[in-house]
Amino acid sequence: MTLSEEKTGQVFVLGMSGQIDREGAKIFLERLTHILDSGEQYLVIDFTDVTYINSTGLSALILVAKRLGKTRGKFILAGVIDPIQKVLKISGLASLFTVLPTKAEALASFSN
Amino acid sequence: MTEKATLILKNDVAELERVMALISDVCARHSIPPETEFDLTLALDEVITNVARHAYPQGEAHQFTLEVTVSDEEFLARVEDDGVAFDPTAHPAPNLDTPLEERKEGGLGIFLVRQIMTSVEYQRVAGKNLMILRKTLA
Repeated sequence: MTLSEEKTGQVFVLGMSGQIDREGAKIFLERLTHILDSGEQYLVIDFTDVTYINSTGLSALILVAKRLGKTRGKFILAGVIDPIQKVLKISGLASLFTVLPTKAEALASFSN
Repeated sequence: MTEKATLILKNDVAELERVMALISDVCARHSIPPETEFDLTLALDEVITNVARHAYPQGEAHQFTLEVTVSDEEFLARVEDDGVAFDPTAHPAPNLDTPLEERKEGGLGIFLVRQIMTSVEYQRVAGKNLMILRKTLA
């Protein structure tokens, strides 16, 4: 798993590529915790190049969403591949998270 | 063509690497589509992690078995361990209607396995857990 970061105005974009498996989820959560600790409130998590997620990765997303909810922050998932969309739907998370097709659309959604 | 492969695994999550490699190999050999491979990988990831983490007392070294049988019609995995009794088919499903702020972070793994596989069976036989996972291949 590799991570990339950029800031566009008020929005922090965390890009990931690879698998959010046991190890990937650990790296993912550590990085997101650090980002939230530094005060970021609006995040795009770019899943375009994420090929896999397990329940540990889903737990990390729930944790981050709950934490952002407390401070009225928000994240948008962008570019989620079909099998991961299916997992989000099965686990009831598709209706709790905002999921948009591309990073550009996620950024545009924040600026509206 | 039917293929059968058996792995003797230690109760260590690092063993997942061997399991994932086996799934990837058999999926390639049987031209299993990527979406199905995703489901099989996720199911075995969750089940093997669960046994490695929870079946045995911490610090004790044990072994358990994964047997995979793949035909043109079906993927079948048998996971057998002599750890503490655990029936995944009786594991309570998470409440998916819970609002985000009350949603628990954990408890999704076994639920996902039951949803993405065609069937999940469990038997407790002679002090062993036997889990049988099946996925129909189109």
